[in-house]
Amino acid sequence: MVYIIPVAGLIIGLLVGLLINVHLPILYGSYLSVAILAAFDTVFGGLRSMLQKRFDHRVFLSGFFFNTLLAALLAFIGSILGLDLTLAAVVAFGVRIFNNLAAIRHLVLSRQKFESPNDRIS
Amino acid sequence: MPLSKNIVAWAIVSAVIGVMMSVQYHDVLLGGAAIWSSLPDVAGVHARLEAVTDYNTGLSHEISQVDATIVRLQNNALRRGGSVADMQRQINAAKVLSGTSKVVGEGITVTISDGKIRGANLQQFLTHDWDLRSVVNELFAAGAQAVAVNQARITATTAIFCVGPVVNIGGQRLGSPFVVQAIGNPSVLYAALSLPGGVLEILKEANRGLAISNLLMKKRIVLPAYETPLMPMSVGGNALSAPTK
Repeated sequence: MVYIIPVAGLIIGLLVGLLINVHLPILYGSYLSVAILAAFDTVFGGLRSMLQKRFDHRVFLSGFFFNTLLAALLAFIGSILGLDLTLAAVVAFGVRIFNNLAAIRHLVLSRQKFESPNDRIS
Repeated sequence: MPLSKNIVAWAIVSAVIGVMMSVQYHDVLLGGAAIWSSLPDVAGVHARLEAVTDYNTGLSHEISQVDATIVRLQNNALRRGGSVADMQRQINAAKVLSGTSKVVGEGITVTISDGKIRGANLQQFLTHDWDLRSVVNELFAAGAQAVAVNQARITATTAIFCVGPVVNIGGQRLGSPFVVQAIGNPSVLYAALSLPGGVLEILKEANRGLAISNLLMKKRIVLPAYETPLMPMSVGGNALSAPTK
């Protein structure tokens, strides 16, 4: 089962993060939160596109790092300007994550019901 | 092999997200981080504290730079001579007189320490404000140009009084032993303090157990400049908000 590799990667990543015992300065905590949210969004988007057979590893990788950094950057700019842009990121990425989850659910269910996956979303 | 590339992409992404999550988990455990932590103001207050500290550091750098410039200009003026130099000499003399500059010169020192209880009256074995005041007065009367007790320079507006267990001199709280230092003609100051029946002899013979050292004549005594004691809430005073130098 080739899908073990990403799971192993996740476990290795978690272990590395726990073992290196790095503490971010308290100021940057909220940026990491937003970055994690963006990363989740990309992961669910990737799952959805795999189910839709439209997965492209270049789009996936670039989207992951670009979205993550952009979200953190946006939160940083917001903190400089006194705007809580982390809220905007939480709302936007939250909506996208739930959309993706709904699409994944529909894709999985429709694939079980019908042979051909249709592209209905949400 | 597109599948293996996809798998590699997934492996990279999941490893990175794993690291991010566990680092964040660490910070949440510490009680910081997290947008929705129960103390959302901590980060803001921390940032503000750092900003104010940086600003203050910058200001004190600026002060030391300006001070250095002032000293350089003053020295230039002294070297150039003329009326500016005269004025500068007057300013320096006034600074010595007012106690706002460090002074060096020959003079004498004497150390007065609290005594030990030996059946003496409890009130009597402590060094009191009037003891120090009489010594300081005697030194000035004998022509001392500058006097300091421990690190407290005596200026025209310096009050000496007892506050509980310590002696308050010009806002600084001092405890025993009290090192009284005076700059002036050493032999005159020595004679003034060692006068038979003078202040030191009165203190010695009062049988209060005070330990009074021998008078020491010194070739070089460094007296500190008068310093406003740093105390919380001290910024409210009118006298403090005026330029000090």
